[in-house]
Amino acid sequence: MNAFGTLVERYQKPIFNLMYRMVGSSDKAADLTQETFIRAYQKLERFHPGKKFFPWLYSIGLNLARDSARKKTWNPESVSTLNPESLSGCNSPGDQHDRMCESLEFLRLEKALDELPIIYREALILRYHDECSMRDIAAALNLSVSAAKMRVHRGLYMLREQYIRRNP
Amino acid sequence: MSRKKDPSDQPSRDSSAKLDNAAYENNENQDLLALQRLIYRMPDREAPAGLTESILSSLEPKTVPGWVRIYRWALRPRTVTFQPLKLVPAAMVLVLGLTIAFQFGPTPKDPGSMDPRQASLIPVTFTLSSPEAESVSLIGSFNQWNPAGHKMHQRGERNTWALELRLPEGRHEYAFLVDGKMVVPDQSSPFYQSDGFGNRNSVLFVSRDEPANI
Repeated sequence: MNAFGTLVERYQKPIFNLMYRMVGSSDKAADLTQETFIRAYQKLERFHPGKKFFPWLYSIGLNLARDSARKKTWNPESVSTLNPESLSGCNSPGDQHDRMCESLEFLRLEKALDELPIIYREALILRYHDECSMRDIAAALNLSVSAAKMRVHRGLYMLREQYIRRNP
Repeated sequence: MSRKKDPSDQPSRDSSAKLDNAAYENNENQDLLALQRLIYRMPDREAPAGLTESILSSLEPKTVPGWVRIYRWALRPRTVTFQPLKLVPAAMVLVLGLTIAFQFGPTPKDPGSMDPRQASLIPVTFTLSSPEAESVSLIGSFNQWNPAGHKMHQRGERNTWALELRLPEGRHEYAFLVDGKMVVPDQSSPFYQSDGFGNRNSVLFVSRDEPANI
């Protein structure tokens, strides 16, 4: 595998998840993930070697996903993070209950995140899920660092409102 | 995670508004912290199997333009290494070349390379016998009678002052300035010329055919 193959291997998962959040379809998300890497490969000369690859790649993916969302031609799946297989390894009814509660929490979180504007949602995912620095978030979302901080801060409050509204 | 506060949880009327606000802010912060943790633990969806291979197989080989390759080549840092021992032959060749150049190359003293104006001058040696003098200068038409122009030097006999000059062909007037105050004409010169102030200047005719030793 060449150097670009290593990058594909390393970053395909967050890009696939970004696409899934944007389009809600595994097949479409896989297509968009592939398209993201192809575009990155074509534009590789424009990438500044001193900068981080992931924010640059994320930025390409986000633009692609937005373009695709405008001309929506697919049907979102109704997928739940409640995976029955994840409960099969539970030893006791207590474990099953805990896992089910956790899965429900994640499901509620996904729904609440879906309600947020994309830029707030992605800022939160990049910050708290992918553990990116504010500088990287700014690069990925084409914002200034101070604007990225504001998006994360406001996004978190907006998420809290959504979460509480859905789960009073 | 905490939810909106139950009205029954509200502090009594006796509690201060400050405490009420602090409790509310505390709940809010706990909510935000819990959300951050929940996002962190949110499970990722696995990318479909074979996605990497699919992506890599769809990449077409790139043809990099020539100017880009040259640009990259020019920007690529390089490390230069050398072994001092390997430089010895080169250093020897350089030293040999310089030696030959100095040995056989043209030198300023070589008549062939002399300035044509210098080559046309004729050497003339001026001498004055004055054992009691402390200093003697040669003044004349060739140095605009400048007393600091040509200082004479004592020769081995110690009572003879001498100076060699290169002068152009023609007629020159001159005299010796002894101890910076006394103008003395050259007793050995057969020709004199009055300076109009009661003194005599010696006259010298310089010719290529007859080198002068005054």
